[in-house]
Amino acid sequence: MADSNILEIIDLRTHFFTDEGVVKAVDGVNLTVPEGESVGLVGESGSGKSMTAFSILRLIPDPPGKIVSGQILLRGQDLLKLPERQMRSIRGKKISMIFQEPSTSMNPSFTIGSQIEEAIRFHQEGRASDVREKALAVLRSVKIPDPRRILSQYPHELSGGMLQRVMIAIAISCEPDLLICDEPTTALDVSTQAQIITLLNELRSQRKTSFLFITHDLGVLSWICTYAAVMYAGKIVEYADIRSLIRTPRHPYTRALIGASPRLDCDRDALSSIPGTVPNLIEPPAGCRFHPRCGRAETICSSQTPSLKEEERGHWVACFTERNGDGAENA
Amino acid sequence: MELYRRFKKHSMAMVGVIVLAVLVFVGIFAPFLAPKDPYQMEFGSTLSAPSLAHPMGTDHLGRDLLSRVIYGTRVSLLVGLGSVIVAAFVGGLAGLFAGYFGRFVDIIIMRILDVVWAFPPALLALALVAVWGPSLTTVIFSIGVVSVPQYARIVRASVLSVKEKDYILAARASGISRSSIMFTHVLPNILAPLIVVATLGIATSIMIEAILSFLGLGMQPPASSWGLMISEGQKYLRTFPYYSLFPGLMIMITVFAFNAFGDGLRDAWDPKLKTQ
Repeated sequence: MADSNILEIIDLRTHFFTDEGVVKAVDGVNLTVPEGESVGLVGESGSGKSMTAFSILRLIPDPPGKIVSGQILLRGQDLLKLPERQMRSIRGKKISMIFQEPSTSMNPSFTIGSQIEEAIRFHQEGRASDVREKALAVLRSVKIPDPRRILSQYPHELSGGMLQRVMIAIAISCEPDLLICDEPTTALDVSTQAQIITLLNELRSQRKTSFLFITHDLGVLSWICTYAAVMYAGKIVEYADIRSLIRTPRHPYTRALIGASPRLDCDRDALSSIPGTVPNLIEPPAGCRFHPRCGRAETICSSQTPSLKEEERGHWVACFTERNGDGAENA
Repeated sequence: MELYRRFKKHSMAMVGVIVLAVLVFVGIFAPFLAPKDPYQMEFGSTLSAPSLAHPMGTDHLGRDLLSRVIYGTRVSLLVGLGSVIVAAFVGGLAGLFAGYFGRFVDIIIMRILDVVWAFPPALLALALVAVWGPSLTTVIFSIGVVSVPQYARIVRASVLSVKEKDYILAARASGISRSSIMFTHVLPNILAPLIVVATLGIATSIMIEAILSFLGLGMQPPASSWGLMISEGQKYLRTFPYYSLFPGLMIMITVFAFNAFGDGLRDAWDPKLKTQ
């Protein structure tokens, strides 16, 4: 994929051991985030996007969840082998995360200031006045008006958009190398969404932070990401740069996903939908997990699992029909 | 401020607070307020009916009942507060650890507390005092010990719901350690129910102290405790009811005041009532 990768996930498997059986939420995910780039991770609810993100930070609720196997390399260092103590110095310092619901992601009992300062103090030495200055500086960098007043306010006094800015401020307060955004705009209204995305884009270009951006919104995805991976039922089915993914999707699932999103530039009366539902991850369908819902499924699809192959330069697809249809067997 | 505004609307609770303020005042300034020495015996006027000289009458040893009731306030408040502090501290920590760490920590702590929980509180407190020997300290601790499971259960339940909140995950994602999350993020968010239960618990503790003293295993004569006074007055109930009546009334008023105060706090803190 790219020459220098900040994050490389190799064959990650995160399973949940429940009374009903083993839920294979993440099942053999391979994903790379090139240095300074923004990689999107798209998929339906329950496809394992968020669990991939939590696996990176090793925040899977255990029990019942467990990272069964795989490697997560942050600049070549395997995070899954680190002791918890060292992992704590990675969280927030090297890798930060922004969550979906800004209003529930802040502790209601403390002021905004004390929560920003807590994050800063945990990773950096410094006097109280320095820490406060730093908190003010990060609030300014996320373009919050009147940051000095905000510092002494409580989360319930701020709007969702403002809180998401504060969350971003906390996330970037220790200048992380990688920022994981777990649907950061889903809970916001559209105009606020646009502001947050613009802000994130600016931060990325200014600070050279790499992004792993989880979303189910293809519009948001194309706006902020340079690469994108499509996830279905715990597996990555397609990975490419954002242009070719949107323009020439190769995997039937990606095509269906794009077909299901509204577009301004072409005239369609009805949006298509994907028949069926996301498979049960305790007993996923054999072979390709999408085959029961796939219009192009062949016999091989129900018996063998396609692996991710580079069909074109930089365009990876896990699909048999695509390979046969385009005669790209050599990849 | 918000809390105070909502609390103020609760008129019963305000009555409770005022009564409690008076009781605390009486307890602290007992030596100045008591008209007589509570241990001073006057054998010339035993079991005398309320009069100007003795507003509540005198007991079987001629001691001034009003002064003894005033001094008894100290015992009740001390035992009530002391035992609740012991119970809320121990039970709070136990519940916090059990709820936050879960699994075997939870099982071990909660099963031990279930054993304590299995005994009727007054009976267990009675047994503990019998073992440790009756004194103010042992009464406080034994009542505290029997109340621990109640606090542990409530704190554990609150912790279980708080620890699944997004902001706990967010704190973990910013690299804060589990133990520091437990004290700095979980604890402040479970204090409200703990304080409410503690306030209501004071009333129960005062009742248990009265029971222990009544049964002779609480405060020992010549100390003046309301429960002890009811017990001593029992013998004269037919001929001289004032002896038991006044301390009984005091227990009733105090317990009512703490309950009203606790109810008011609970309602003021309950987010579901916020819209009213």
